[in-house]
Amino acid sequence: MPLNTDLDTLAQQTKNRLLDINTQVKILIVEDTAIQAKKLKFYLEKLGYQIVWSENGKLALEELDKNSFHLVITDVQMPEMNGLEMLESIRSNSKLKNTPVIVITTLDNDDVCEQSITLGADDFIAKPFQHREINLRIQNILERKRSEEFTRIQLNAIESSMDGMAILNQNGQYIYVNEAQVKVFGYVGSEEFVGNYWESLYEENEIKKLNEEIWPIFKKEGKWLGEIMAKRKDGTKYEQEISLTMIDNGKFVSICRDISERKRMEREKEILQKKLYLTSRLASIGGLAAGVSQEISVPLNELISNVSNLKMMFKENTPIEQSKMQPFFSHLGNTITTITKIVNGLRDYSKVSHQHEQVDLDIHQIIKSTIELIGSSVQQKNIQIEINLNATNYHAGGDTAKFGQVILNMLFNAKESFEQAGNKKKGTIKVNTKNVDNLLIIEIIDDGLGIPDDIKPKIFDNFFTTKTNSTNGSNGTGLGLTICKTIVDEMKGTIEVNSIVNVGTTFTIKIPFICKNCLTAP
Amino acid sequence: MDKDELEFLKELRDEFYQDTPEQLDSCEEIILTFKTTGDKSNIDKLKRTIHSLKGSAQAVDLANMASFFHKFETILAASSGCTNISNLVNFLLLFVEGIRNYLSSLRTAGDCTSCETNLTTLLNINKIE
Ligand SMILES: Nc1ncnc2c1ncn2[C@@H]1O[C@H](COP(=O)(O)OP(=O)(O)O)[C@@H](O)[C@H]1O
Ligand SMILES: [Mg+2]
Repeated sequence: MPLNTDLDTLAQQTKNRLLDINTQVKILIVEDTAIQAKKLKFYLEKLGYQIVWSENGKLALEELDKNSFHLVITDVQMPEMNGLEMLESIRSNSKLKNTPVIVITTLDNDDVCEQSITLGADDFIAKPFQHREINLRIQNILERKRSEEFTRIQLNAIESSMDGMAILNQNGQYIYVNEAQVKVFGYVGSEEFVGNYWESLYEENEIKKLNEEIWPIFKKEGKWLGEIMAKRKDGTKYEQEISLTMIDNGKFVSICRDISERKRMEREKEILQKKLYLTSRLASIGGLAAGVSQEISVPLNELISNVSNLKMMFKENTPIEQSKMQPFFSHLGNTITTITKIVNGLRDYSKVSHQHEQVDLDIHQIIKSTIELIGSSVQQKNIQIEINLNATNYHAGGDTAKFGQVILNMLFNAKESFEQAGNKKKGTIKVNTKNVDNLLIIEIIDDGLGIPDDIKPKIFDNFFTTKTNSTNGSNGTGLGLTICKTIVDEMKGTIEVNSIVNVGTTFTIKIPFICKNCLTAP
Repeated sequence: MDKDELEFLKELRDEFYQDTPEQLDSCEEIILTFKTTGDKSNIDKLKRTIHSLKGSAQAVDLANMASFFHKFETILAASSGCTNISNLVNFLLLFVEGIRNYLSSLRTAGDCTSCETNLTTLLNINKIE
């Protein structure tokens, strides 16, 4: 919930809480004579009021106990319980005591008039009366009650608000504070607070900022909203969100909130996102094994061929003593076996970690949840993500975690392309899906740095990275795209790149979809 | 006044014509109980009934009838010190009878000047001691 800074909105909200304004006004008529009651009921209903009729004070009290009314109009003389006795009961009942009561009386009976005033009647009306007259009285009373209620609720709202609210005079001295205001500054009661100057409640540096930066803007615009360091009574500091609104005669309203907890959570979230980022890097380790095995197997093959060449050489030029060379060769052979073992082991490991079952994936769902996962970390960097998931067939065979990894890598690369482009450049990442023929096409489009033509052919290579001195502190592994390609290959798909330097990059993934509504599989 | 309203007022007056004789019956009963017991609380009861009838007469726009009830109420209010019970009872019964006649004439003929004269005379000449 944002800080409620607009006083007009606050007033409107309060007003909306008043049920009287738009609901039908409900009136209880208390009158023992049927004909009189019926006539009054007829006219008031004609005027749009909702009328209930009780025959005496006792029945009326029962009715008031069951249902609520905006107004009671009562006769005085009635059997069982007369109007004045009923009025007395209403005024002494905590639930009913605010219900307005109009007493119908005969003009010449001063006693009744006096008694009803003493007992708390809101108005009276003399018989015989014109219905127009009674309507005027009703309107008056309802209007009065409404504004009373309005003020009461408004005060209540201010008092019970979670935000600190205060009114300050032109000297910057607090003249009204609500409970939250007292609490947020660590004071005990409002008596202790009122009379203080605002300077005593803020850090010295902040006062400087207030006077030099904030005050001129506030004076000019009549409003200011921002964050500021505040000081509690005990001297501890905390971050505060505050809004200032000019009222009249130089007085102004301040609404504030302790946001240190929110800030702490924001910082924690940021750390979490960093961790997530690292985790995604670590997730590359599965792929790293494959990469390492490939890396080692290249020199290994060379070694093998060199050694066999050497062997050949020795065979042709005989003079060398074979027995002397024998331990050397066997040692070489052992090393080769060991390396081969490691390589095979690594390859097996990488195979195992790739041996996930192929299941039916909801690609849209994976895209959405992956974006959700990194959404705010990306937003903080002024990057917007737009998704247009237009494919109607968006299921494919694969592994959830792995495909999520593909999207994650792509998004991180896109995000990093803005960082590489310079100081946190603003940008947009688009993720689109569509169907073409029997393919599900996923495009990840950024308007970041772009990829130069000379390195384009290398980006899918193991360990190829341009992020050797990355701004976010973690260097590239050069494995992201390799992994993406492996995973997409497993899904029997393809992955392509189109890029123009300083314009942007589009990665296009094409995978065969699983048709949900087709008779024969595509 | 729209049609609705006229219709409603006519119905209301019919209701008055229909209900009032019963009220007058109970007035007579109250008066007779007063006669036999001398219990003054009956006069209060009568006052209340008459007060309601006055209100109803006003409500159905029978202003003259309402004013007779009103005068009668005033006399009743002043009757507390009255010692001549039989005289008082006679007067009360005469008034109820007068109203009854007036009411039935109104109902059938729409007005009744002689009834009004009679009631005025009755209320004017009466002196309660
Ligand atoms: N969206 C992109 N925009 C610009 N360059 C990219 C993009 N995606 C990948 N690249 C380039 O491809 C290289 C390889 O990417 P990747 O295999 O994910 O490794 P890493 O991200 O660890 O560098 C990156 O270093 C970068 O130069
Ligand atoms: Mg990457």
